[in-house]
Amino acid sequence: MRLLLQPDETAKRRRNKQRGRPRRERGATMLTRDRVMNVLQGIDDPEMPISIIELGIVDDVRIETRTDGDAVHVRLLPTFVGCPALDLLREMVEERLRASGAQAVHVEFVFDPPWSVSRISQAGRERLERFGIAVPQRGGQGGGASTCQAASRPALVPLSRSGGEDAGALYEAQESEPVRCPLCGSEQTTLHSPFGPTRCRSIHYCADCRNAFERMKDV
Amino acid sequence: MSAATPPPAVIPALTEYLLALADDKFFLGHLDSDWTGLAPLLEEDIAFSSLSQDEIGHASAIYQLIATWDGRSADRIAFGRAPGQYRCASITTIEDDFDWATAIARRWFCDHFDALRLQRLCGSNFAPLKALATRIAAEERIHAAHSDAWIVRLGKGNADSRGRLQAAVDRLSTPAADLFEPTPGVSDLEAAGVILSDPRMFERWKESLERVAAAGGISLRVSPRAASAPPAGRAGRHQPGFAAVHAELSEVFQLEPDAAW
Ligand SMILES: [Zn+2]
Repeated sequence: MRLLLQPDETAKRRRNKQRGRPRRERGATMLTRDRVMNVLQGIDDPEMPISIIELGIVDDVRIETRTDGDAVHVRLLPTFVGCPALDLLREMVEERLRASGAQAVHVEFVFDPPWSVSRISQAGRERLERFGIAVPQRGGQGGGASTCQAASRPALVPLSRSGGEDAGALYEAQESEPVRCPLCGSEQTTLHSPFGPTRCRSIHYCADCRNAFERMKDV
Repeated sequence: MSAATPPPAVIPALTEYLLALADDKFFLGHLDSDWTGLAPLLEEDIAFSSLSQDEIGHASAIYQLIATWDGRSADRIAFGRAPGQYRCASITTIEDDFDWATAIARRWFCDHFDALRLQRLCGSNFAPLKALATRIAAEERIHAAHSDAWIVRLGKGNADSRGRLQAAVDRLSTPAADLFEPTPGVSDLEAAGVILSDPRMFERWKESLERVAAAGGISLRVSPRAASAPPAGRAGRHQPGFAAVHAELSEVFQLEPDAAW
């Protein structure tokens, strides 16, 4: 009889022990800021091969410890106000942080501080250049994001000469630095259109390698 | 510390002022989206699609800001109002009937107006508005550059392009001045520091348009809206064309106003 009872007792003891444990231990380890940042580092922008951390759109992360588990509050800075990828981005952040043990995730989009290309990290710049997207080096400096006074300066002026090889060219870009082709390194480039495949990229043309390439807008 | 909501006393006036801004963008963005797939150049297909996306994105962000103190959701503010509650100026509801010069001239008047209107908001003491307006203003620089470039290109093109542009500019210059129709309580907003005052705004608008018109070799005649002019778009008195545009853009929402998207 004892042989039969023993495993039964053990199972009961095990069950009791489990019931007595705080719930969090079963789900995952407690979330730390480092861990949350690591998860976010692993999320790429929906439209470019660059982490949302490297892109500089994560403004702030706050972890709220609650009895039913940790709630994570993430403040994100949209690159462009009307960026259509924002909802997708919100879902990705929520999903990944939940999978990493967050009980609740609150994603908020804010415009203060304004995002600008100056927020892209060095690693992010290298990844984008390797992918074929140029990034303004002194990004944001000549742009209009930070102050309204800067925003009132013209970004581009109508082209007064022929577009040369680029017959479709409409503008004379007012760049604060030469625009370097990410494919061959030449600076013999012209702005083809400020409207690229996503709101944050413009289209340029390289007179040396005769390729079109994209560039992060200098805002 | 900055307040998350504006001072209660100015809320009605601020709501009206921001509805005018957002409604202008919402209607202009909607009309411009007609060019997706039909613009004269591939680049312009992308440009007009992007411009529409920007305008509707700006409108959406402003409706969301209003929703932070208004009882209604942003969607309900955007789509669920009666026609007389929209505050857009008539120029943003005039259809172009696929005349490229009209589409360009319509944008041109609105872009230059918005640049100045946003400067007044960038100096706001209401932090969420200041931040949003600053970001929108940065994007609007590219919009104004785009319409300026087309005014010059069409103006310096051939007799046909110049003639069509001139006709469009002449036709739209009177409704364009209606952009300046005030919403109620603007002086209260200025006194409270929620928007900056700009007594020379019309002259500055005219001067910036004139510089571009001169570069394109076209003439421009704009006159300030008379103080005695009858109430128009900003008061919800819209042109006959408004109803059709409004019905079109709110069609899906009206199918099931309480649906969750
Ligand atoms: Zn090249």
